[in-house]
Amino acid sequence: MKIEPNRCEIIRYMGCRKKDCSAELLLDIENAVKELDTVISPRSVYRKFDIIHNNDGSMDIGNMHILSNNLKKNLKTCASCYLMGATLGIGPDHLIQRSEISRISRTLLYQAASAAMIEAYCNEINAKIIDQEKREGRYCRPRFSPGYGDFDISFQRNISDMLQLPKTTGINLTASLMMMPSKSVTAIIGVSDIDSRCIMEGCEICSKRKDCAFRRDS
Amino acid sequence: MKSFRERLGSEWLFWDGGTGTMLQSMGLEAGESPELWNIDYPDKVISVHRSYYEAGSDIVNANTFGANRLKYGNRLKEIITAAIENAKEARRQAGREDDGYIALDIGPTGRLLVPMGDLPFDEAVDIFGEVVRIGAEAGADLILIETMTDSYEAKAAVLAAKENSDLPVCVTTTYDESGKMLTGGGVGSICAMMEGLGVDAIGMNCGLGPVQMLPVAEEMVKTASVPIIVKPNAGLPRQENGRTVYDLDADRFCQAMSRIADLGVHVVGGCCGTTPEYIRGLVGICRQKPFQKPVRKERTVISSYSHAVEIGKRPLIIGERINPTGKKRFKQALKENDLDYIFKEAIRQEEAGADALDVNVGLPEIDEPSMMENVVQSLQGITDLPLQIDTTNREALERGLRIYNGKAMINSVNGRKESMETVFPLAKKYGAIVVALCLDESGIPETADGRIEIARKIIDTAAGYGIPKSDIVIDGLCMTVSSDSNAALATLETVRRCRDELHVNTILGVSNISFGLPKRKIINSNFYAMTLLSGLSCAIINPLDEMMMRAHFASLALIGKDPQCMGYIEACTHFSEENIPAGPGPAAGAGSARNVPARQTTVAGGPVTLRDFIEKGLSAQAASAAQEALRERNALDLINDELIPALNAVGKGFEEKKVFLPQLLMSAEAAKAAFEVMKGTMAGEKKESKGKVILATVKNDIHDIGKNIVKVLLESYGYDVIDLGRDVAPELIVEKAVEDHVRLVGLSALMTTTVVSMEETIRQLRKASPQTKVVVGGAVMTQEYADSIGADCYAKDAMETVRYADSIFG
Repeated sequence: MKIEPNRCEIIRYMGCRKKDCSAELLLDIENAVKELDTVISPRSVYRKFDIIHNNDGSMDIGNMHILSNNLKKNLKTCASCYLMGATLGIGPDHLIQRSEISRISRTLLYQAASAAMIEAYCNEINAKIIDQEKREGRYCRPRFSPGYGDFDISFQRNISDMLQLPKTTGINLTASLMMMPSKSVTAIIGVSDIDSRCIMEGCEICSKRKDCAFRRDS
Repeated sequence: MKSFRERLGSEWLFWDGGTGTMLQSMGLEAGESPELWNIDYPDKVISVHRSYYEAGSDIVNANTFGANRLKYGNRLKEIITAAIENAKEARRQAGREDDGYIALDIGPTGRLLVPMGDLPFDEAVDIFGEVVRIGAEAGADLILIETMTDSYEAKAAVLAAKENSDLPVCVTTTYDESGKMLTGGGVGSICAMMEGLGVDAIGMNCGLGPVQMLPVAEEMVKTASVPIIVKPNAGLPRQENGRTVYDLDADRFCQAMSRIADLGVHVVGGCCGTTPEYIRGLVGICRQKPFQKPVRKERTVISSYSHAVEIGKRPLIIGERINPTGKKRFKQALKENDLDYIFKEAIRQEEAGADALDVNVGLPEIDEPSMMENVVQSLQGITDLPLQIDTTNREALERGLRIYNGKAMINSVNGRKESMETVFPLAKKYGAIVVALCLDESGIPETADGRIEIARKIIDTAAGYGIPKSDIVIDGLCMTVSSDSNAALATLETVRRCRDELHVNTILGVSNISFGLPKRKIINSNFYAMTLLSGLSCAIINPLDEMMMRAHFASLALIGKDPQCMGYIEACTHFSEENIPAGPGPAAGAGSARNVPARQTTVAGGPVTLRDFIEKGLSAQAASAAQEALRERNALDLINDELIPALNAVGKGFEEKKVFLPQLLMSAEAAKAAFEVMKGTMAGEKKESKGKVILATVKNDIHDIGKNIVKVLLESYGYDVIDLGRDVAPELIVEKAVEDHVRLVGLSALMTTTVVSMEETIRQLRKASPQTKVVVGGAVMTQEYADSIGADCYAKDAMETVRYADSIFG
């Protein structure tokens, strides 16, 4: 499976600016993407669930009872949502660990490129879901992940159980709720009858926005 | 009643189908714990089991797939006991008490093991061990370890099963359409390891439908010697109105399974989406087919987590460089616990073409067993080559074998009674290939006759332990030709007769032959060529030694082991032009023949001095420039006049946003490469260091890229970094800081959930070592956050950490 990551994002993740990138660095990036391409084994799973909006402002999705203003805002007009899990597999982690010993400058390339690749992969799956819903006259909200804004990271555990992530994708959780393989994403994608835009997302919602080296410029 | 073991492999046996999906159709919600139904809805669970027995299943899985202490804590015994009781009741109701079996079903923990995850191997064994003890006591007839996506976790479960019961153990793993497991292993590697561990049957379940599973099953029939189990899903899943449905109905499932049955598998059943209807169909079809008994393959195979390597097909190169014997720098690395140095040796040998790596970390001053365990475990995150555990220390051998994710090679046993009594039980338990030296109580026989006799004795004794000849590789031993002019001939004859008379594989550490002679490489490489002609299966050599590699590829081409000479032609593109390397071989230099730098640099107007090479980030050139410069200047001058100014220039550029992180790191690497050359000349001497800094990724945090970047940078600036790794307990950090009087500790945390550990570490440090400063960093860290947990400094990037260190030690 071919995944085309956004090159500008790779450069941003590396802490660089496109205009300052040498031709050699751009070539290194292409090579890293190519190399990653040979070791990834992308897997994903998604399932649709109903959302129950409770009077106290909380929401119930499957076995999750969620109190989160940010997520609530995102899902305000949604009666259902998709839970998704996606991973590039353990290959990039091996490549990264190995390069940490031999060449840490490569680590940075692999890290940035694989981060952009898992995003691109999620975009692909997301696009599929959007298409599917569009055909039935419904719209999807931007995907939203546990640990993002005030949506508690502990919901990783619930999502993992509901999607049987270890079995369906090979995504495992550590005791501190990190995902392994590290290039993995879980997310909620709200489904609404109303097409609305302009909600806060991306860097604007993040608590680190003031001093993050990776913040998008605009 | 015939036992399961008596019937397995001698007649068709049928497993059950899906349990979870059956319970879901009865109302089990997504995310709800199926194992609790053993207590809350026993009737429903019993009815599922019963319907499988009635459909013809000989084996039914108790509803214990996810039952372990991580999920159920102290309710575990109650749950597993109830599950087995439910299965017993179902069997009674179905009238299958005489010919129906109950399997204790063990699925994955949902945690990934160290080194890729955070669950220690021994803890995994312990978790599974508890399940096994409860299940065996409750009356399970056998154990099924299933839906394993990681061979390492499967190994932990098998060891737990065998160490805590005498029940038959079956293992089925999950593959994707390319025949790979999620963590990278394949049929070859999993069969080598599982058969080595002595499982009763092996196979595959879940993940795929029978159509996609066919090629995987086909490969397993060609590979495995033990009975094979196949339990696919009811096709591939898709979502329909929020429910998961599978694309094959019972008829189409059975049609596809019919082809798998024809391959010569031995136990069939179903997994997700299959129901008693599917199993009934399966029983009907298979009973019409002749049963094909399992066939022993008699192959000699070693494996890593990712692949298997067969010994005897073509000569294998086993890299010898992870060994302190005669290596000052390596000994120093062991004493200083500098594992990175060892790991680099592994990567260089792999890149140079090694097929497997010998691992010897024996040094009188160190704790060899724990060093062996550490090195073997960590190497598995760095290289995917199979390992050869090389030690004379029994405990080191056992700990290395236990922690290894694959079928290892043991170096070595010999004909002495004591040696065989020590090594063979471990080889049998952990499933390893054993290198057997042709010597015994009376020493090393001078003649091939004497050595062959010892080889026979070792092979016979091994058989008594249940170790087949195919798991023995004979080392005919090389004595130095300078003291006995017939030494080489005796070895060559031994190798040849092992092949022709004993039909057993052979191995040699080649370089002994030239001991005491000048220009040893000439003797070694010529002798190596002769051993290959005599039929040598594996050579323990230095793959970075170009002379040896020339002999290797030339010999393979000449003895018919390299079709169309393609291997030789490919290898030639890496060999240097000159006839015979004059100085020390590439082994002592900066890279192997295959590590040619990607970019040529010394063009007109290009960088020329060490300082330039470092600023440009050219590691190989920086190393050779350092080597060159050391002839005229001492290391300290070079560091002060070349290395530090270069790094300062790049560091300043970074701070002014003229240089970016990739360039900064490349320069740091180049500085380190140059520094490593200087270290070689200084090994053993007292080193100049700017100061000691502890770095650690805090408890529960396993992402350490940021920490490693800081480490490289600090080291390039001349700091001694004590790298405690990742997921490090506060107590360990404090202990090290106090023990080594460390003035600066750098902590990294990636997530809000792990900043808690950072805070705790700082609290403990303040108490035990108030003078120690703490610098923190990581993805979620901010100045405010750092202030709130009481850190002395927040470094937003690696360079800031260096500057802060300079301000403390400067």
